[in-house]
Amino acid sequence: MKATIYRSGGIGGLRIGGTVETDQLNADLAARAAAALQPGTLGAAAAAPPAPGSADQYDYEVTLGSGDTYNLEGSGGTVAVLDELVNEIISRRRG
Amino acid sequence: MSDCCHIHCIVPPHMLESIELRGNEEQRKFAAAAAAVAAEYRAERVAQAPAGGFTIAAVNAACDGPKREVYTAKNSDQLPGDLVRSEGDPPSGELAVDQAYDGAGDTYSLYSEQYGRDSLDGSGLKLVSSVHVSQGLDNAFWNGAQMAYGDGGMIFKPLTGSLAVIGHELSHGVVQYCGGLVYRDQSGALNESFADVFGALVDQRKAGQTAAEASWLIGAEILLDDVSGDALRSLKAPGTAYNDDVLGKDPQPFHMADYANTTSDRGGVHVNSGVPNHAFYLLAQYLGGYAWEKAGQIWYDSMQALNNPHATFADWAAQTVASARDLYGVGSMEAIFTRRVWRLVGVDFN
Repeated sequence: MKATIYRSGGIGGLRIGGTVETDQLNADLAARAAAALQPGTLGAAAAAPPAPGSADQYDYEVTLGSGDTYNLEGSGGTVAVLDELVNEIISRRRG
Repeated sequence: MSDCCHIHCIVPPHMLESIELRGNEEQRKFAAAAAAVAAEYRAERVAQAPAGGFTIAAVNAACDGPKREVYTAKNSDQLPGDLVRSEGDPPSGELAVDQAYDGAGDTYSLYSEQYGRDSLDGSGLKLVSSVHVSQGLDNAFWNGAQMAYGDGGMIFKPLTGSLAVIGHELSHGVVQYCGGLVYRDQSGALNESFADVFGALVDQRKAGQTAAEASWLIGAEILLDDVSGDALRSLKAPGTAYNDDVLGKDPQPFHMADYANTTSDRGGVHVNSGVPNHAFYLLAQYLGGYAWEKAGQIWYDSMQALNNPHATFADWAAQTVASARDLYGVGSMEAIFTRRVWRLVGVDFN
């Protein structure tokens, strides 16, 4: 499974991400990524925005292999997996 | 059709956003429900704005001192976590806890001693901070009720290492309790800019630096050594804070000619904040001395008086000129310079 994930905002206002392929991840993260990167899961996560008044939390843009794009502003388990995937992308680019 | 449903249909989205920011609990529930009906908008998490609704903080109110609590989330996402240090407790010996505690105190001191504001809400609100939030979290945020600081990992060192970052997050709370600025597009960029400006002022005041002596950097202390850059943002020279293989180049403009029209980052709230950031920097340089005195007072009074959660840069610029005139007089150098700096960054207003 292939997906393109960008994380933007945060205190730094940075937009960071890229493309991940789950078969290149370790088995644990690959399994969690496969569960998170489903249309139903992403759609549900997109329905939990930050509270009014909140600031500096991340936004996520996820494009699946089908071409469908999801914009998430919330928090929770799905977002935690997306965070791990973005960190994995950063780690690989840093070498 | 019921009256309630009729109201749902006629209240425009921008009004619902204002009510969610500024209404009492019942009004916020209504706004959230209306938004859900109108656009299948999201309705679950409405409760963290001020419980009694929006009120302007008293000026020169009696300030009784900060009421700080610092918790550890123990690298979980559960906030606030376990209480580690309360007001008056001796240092805990844990760096992040003590930095969050001291930073909250320095921020409280700026607002209370300089502007007569008793905490974020003007009424002695408890300053709640959580450290060690999540695992490897390269972020700090204000969630509408408290500050949260990650330990960093990929890009940042622990986020409490920067006093400007602590002042920044707490200043988001001040914006919220001044009536709020919708966190999107120009109003969101103004929200970010106010947080940057007062984060920088907390830092400068603690260090005793004049406007000419200060670095005007946000987060200079927390970039990891392998990141190519000086800081997260520069108010002195927006667009020059970093240039890194992973992060790319600092995208902040300092002039409206380079304003970023983007859907990312809620309309570039962390990007376009460079324009009002630089306007403040220029004003502080023109006025000289300590930036938290005259320039800071103009910006602070402007936030108190703005009363427009969808304010544009032009609205904010006009308000700062009005506040400068109120504080220092029509035709004063302070008012003239305030008008001038907005021209220099390309913001036109009447």
